[in-house]
Amino acid sequence: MGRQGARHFHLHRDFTGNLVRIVVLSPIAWRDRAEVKREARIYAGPTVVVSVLGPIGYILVLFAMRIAPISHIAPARELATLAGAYMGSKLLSERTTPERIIGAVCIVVGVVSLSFAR
Amino acid sequence: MEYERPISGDFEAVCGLADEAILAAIRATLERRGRAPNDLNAYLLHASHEMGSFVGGLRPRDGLIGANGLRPFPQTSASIPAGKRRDFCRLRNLALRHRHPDHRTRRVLLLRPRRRTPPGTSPQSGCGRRTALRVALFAVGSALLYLPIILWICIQARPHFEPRHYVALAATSVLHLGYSLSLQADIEARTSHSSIRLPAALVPCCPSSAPFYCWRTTDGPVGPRAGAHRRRILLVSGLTASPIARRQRHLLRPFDWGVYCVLHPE
Repeated sequence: MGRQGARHFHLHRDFTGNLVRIVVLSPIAWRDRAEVKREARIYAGPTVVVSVLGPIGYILVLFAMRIAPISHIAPARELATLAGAYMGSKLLSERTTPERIIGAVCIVVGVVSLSFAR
Repeated sequence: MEYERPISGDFEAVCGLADEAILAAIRATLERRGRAPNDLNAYLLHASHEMGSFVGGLRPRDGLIGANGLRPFPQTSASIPAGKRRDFCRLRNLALRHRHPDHRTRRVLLLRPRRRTPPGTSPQSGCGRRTALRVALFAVGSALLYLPIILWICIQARPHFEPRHYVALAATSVLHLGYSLSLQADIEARTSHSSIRLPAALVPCCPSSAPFYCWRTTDGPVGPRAGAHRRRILLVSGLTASPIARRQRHLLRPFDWGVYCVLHPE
């Protein structure tokens, strides 16, 4: 891979993933065009936010993998589980059990421990 | 049932039976046949916002609902014949409210959705369809937003990819498709907790990403640590019983020790 190609490979990777999703899911969407319009109208704001922030998050992770050890980046990336659990608790009123809190603490402790690993 | 937003408190199910002709037809059928099944679209309201919608089967029966229309009805199932209780919705805090032209709010019992539903309206098929539609919607949005950047890169930088990179692009794209669909499907179905969804959706990616991480953690495919990592992968996969030859300061070292102690208890 050329140097320029290597520099922008993460962008191509994310964009190719979106193209594959579009190609695979287009027949389903085409069969239900009215529902697509309805979904697009109702979720216009969230769609734009997710469309912008989703690829940015993935691209930043891939970029971080190039400048930092994977052994640090990969575990830190799993903090998304904590964010998901927090959002589920706050927005979806999901139960927060002691086991889940212990699991969340273990994740944080693990990531912090990995950051100190040499 | 279609969920639009989460509901955190009490809510109402409002049925928009605004057409007086439909109500008259129900009355006529009820008087003629003693029953008048009909499908109604109901909306869940919470804090004056629509939170969801569903198609419910209204099954008024003579004697339970008066001939004058939809009269107030108890929300407990005690007054319902035992053989018919299973037909009624088990959700609490639900009230099917119909506003007559005279602005009198009348309550009837909300019935559960009929078993025979039109194509595309069953919970399972609707969930799968919405999953695909929403993933497609996000993909289209992302592709459109980032298309100018990709085009600019392709024109200005003219990246050159080797065949193995195209293979990597295809493989990661397929894996991300599965990841997106599984995650979105679980969110739609709400079958699990949010702390379970993300790790569960990542499961298909783990077998493929683990060798990638191990390879990237080393100093290259032919570096001094690469051989040890390959041996670790082989050891974990059961292809060889040879322990790690060289001890290194590495994150997988405790895991290596555990495997070594299991294989060589002496």
